[in-house]
Amino acid sequence: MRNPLVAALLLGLILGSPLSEARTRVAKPPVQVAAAAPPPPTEPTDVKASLPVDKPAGDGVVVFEYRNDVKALADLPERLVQALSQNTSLRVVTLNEARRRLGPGIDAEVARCDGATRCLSLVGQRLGVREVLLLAVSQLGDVVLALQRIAIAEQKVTGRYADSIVGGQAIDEARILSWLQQLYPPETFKRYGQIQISANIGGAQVYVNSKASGTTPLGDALQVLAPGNYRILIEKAKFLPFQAAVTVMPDTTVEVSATLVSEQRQTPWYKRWYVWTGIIAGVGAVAATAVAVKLGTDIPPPDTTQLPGTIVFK
Amino acid sequence: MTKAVGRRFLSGAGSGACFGLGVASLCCIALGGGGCSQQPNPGSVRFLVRATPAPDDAVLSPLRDARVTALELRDARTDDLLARSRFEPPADNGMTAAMLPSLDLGSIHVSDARDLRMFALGAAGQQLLGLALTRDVSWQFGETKDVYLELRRPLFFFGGSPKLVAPVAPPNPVLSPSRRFYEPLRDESKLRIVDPNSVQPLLSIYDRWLDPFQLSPGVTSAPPVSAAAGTYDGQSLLVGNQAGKLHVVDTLRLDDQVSFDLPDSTNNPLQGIVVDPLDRTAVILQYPRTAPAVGRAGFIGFVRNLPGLRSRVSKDGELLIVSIDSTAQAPISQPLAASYTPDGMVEVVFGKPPLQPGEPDCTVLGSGEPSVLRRYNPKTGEQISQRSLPYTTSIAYTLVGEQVLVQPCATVSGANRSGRVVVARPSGDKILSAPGVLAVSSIRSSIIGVGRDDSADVPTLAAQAKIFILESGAEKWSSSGFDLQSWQVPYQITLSSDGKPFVSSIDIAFAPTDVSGYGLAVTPDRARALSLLRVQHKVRGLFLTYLGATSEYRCYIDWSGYSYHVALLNLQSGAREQDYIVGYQNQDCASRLYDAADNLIGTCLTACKANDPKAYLRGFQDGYVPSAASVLFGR
Repeated sequence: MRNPLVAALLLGLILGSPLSEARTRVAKPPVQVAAAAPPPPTEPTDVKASLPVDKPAGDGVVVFEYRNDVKALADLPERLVQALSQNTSLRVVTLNEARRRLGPGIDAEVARCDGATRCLSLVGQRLGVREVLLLAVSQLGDVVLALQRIAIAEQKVTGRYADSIVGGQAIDEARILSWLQQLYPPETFKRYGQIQISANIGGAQVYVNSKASGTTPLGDALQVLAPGNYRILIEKAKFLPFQAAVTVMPDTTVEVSATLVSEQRQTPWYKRWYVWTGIIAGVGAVAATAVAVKLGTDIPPPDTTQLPGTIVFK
Repeated sequence: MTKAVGRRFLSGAGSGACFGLGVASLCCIALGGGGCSQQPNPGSVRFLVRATPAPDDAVLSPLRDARVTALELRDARTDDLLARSRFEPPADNGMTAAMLPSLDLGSIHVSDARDLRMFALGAAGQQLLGLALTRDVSWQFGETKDVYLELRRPLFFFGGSPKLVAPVAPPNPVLSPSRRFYEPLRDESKLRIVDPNSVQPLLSIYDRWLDPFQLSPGVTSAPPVSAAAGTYDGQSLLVGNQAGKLHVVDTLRLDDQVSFDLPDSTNNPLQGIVVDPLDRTAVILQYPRTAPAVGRAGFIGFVRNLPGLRSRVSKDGELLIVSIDSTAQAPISQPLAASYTPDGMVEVVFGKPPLQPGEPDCTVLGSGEPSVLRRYNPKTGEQISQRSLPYTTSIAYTLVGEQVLVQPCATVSGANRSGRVVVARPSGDKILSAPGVLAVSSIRSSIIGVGRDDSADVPTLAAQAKIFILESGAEKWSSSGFDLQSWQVPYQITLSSDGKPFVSSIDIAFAPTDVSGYGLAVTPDRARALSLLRVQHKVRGLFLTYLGATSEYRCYIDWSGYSYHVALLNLQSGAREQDYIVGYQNQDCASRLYDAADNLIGTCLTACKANDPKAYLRGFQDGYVPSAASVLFGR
């Protein structure tokens, strides 16, 4: 590097140091908030449904891009969002979501931050997320990427990772994931789904994979590792136990609505007064009618060995 | 809705409704309550099929394959047909499989817990183009149930080895070492993906570098893949490479999902991976090519929590490493092969690796230390038992619990060549001649191997490769032979006036003289196999040319070496569908010059001259030794 000042400026640009804030005469680089793919369509079902989990906003992250007139890797923010969404338990705020909440001026607002941690934290705070992931893209022969995790509450950078890429080289998903793995702890890459259990009676004990998980009514959905198969047992004395097996996919909620039936027998019909009254009143005539009706409307007992099946493509 | 709810409809609702309706209800009394009962809700079962989404679906998703005409649901253990539906793939107009309407299966029988397979079948109903396996699913009357099925193509995979570096040939060589390299497979560093059902089986755009690095600016490489194994549910591929990392590749898009480091992989590279048929655990085998008589012979690693590794709950799958140390009192060789037993234990065969220059030379392998078979508990790593065996290179178990051992240096009575397969049956061991077979695969109750014919060495006869299939309960192999390519050595390369060689030249064709099938993967429908073959080409006293002013001298050469092949085989027709040569390795090279009186007066080919720095043919090697033959949904 022949000019140390230029080098310092570039470095500052990449890492968001105070040097970059002093660069007032330089035109603002274009800045955008990353867009992410829309959530997968859901298919409501009556009893059990896999729905996208509404991840708590407190675990959210928004991806900002800070680009220094570099055309290469224009789709990187989107791919980062995609990688975060697909591989971590974080809730990622998309471009559309950020604009919807803060208005279309958010792009200019982030641009005015000029990479400053405090400024970006304030923008992120208004989005209700916990972190900003700032992607800075510059070019010095190779394309140089710098990723910073900015903790909004502390308004400080909690992790940095930089990588250089030969111009024109394609970046595969594994490499993007490896960057994220350098930035985030392994726990972040565990994925979860939820099981929302409700029942028609209160005080029933709920077991998930034989582990006691509370009594009905359960307040919140149960968070479980996904993908995974879970066996659910809901039982209460004097009721028939309810059992179900569900498959929970990442970032989805499986709803289980249990109906427990009482074991108590109802009063036998032959002990009811109105039965005998009715029989005494018209047994002869009705019997003849009944025979005729039976002959005309004989309904076979239901076939409980079969049920309808469909193949659905996801 | 559950079974309990269904019972409520049957027993309660009908009678309650009847008695509340006065005279009309009395009919119900006479009818015993049955005639007026409300029909119970039968519930429903939905089979939610997920396959590779766009844009990778065009190549990887069976649902985009225009040949698929039917989807079948079968019990994975009994193969009983549960449901079948016609299927029409989406038109090639941007429509994806997810846009397809649901397929009505009609009524299907209730089912207790079972392992469920979905088959995507071709027009003839025989070609298996996609498969899914979901375990332990059930559906009952009155229940509304979703069953997820991850549909994948039954892909093959293979890897490489450290690059065999070719020496620099002089500008105008008399002999050029090789001609028939398959250039698209020249890179040894990639995990290769093969679709056995395609006319273009090499899915090159999906070949993967694992742990890539910059070899030089703009040039990427990666440590070669040395071992791989697909899970039986088809959703993951375990891959080990020369960097000592075990990767889990998600087969939805063939993405590298997670990886971790293995111990001491520099000295003990990963050579084998075996997955439990229930996908609960896996075994990895690490060993050096040559191990000391006393000292470390390798490691056995037990991945005790494979589901945890795949879901990233566990960083290393609770890997348990067992060191294999050879002592003077208890000598033991490398852990060559392993198989899960029907009772969930693991049996490991220890022996010298057969793939070394000059081997399998049964005078060395067969007469040295015997092989050892040890039995381990994969959950604890505890060694349960041990016994000695003749030299053994592979072990497998069939679905009916028969143990299969491959012993390439033992000769069956009446056979010309060594090599046998021993099948342990309740009625006694079944011993079958199987020359050239170093590895077997078992699909359900059949056994498959690839080796060579049993003909004795005859100078005019080229060796032929052979497919061996032992059907369930059969006493003899069903077999068929196929030819392999010769090692073509361009001879007397002539140059044009501008110094460039002519494209055409005369080749010396070194025919195959021996075949060793050391790697094998078979599709779950047993239709096709990916076979890794080492083919020996050996010639002695080949007349090359006359020399001298009056052609009074005659020059002969001796040559032997190996070519390494990746062959795609059709197990239904016995045909070799593809034969890719990816490596060459000269074993010995010499020349002899005779005068007119047949006196040996020296050598005549500098390219093969001992201790000559220009001897570019001597020890010539190029390409790589293919490895890690594996398949999804099977082995």
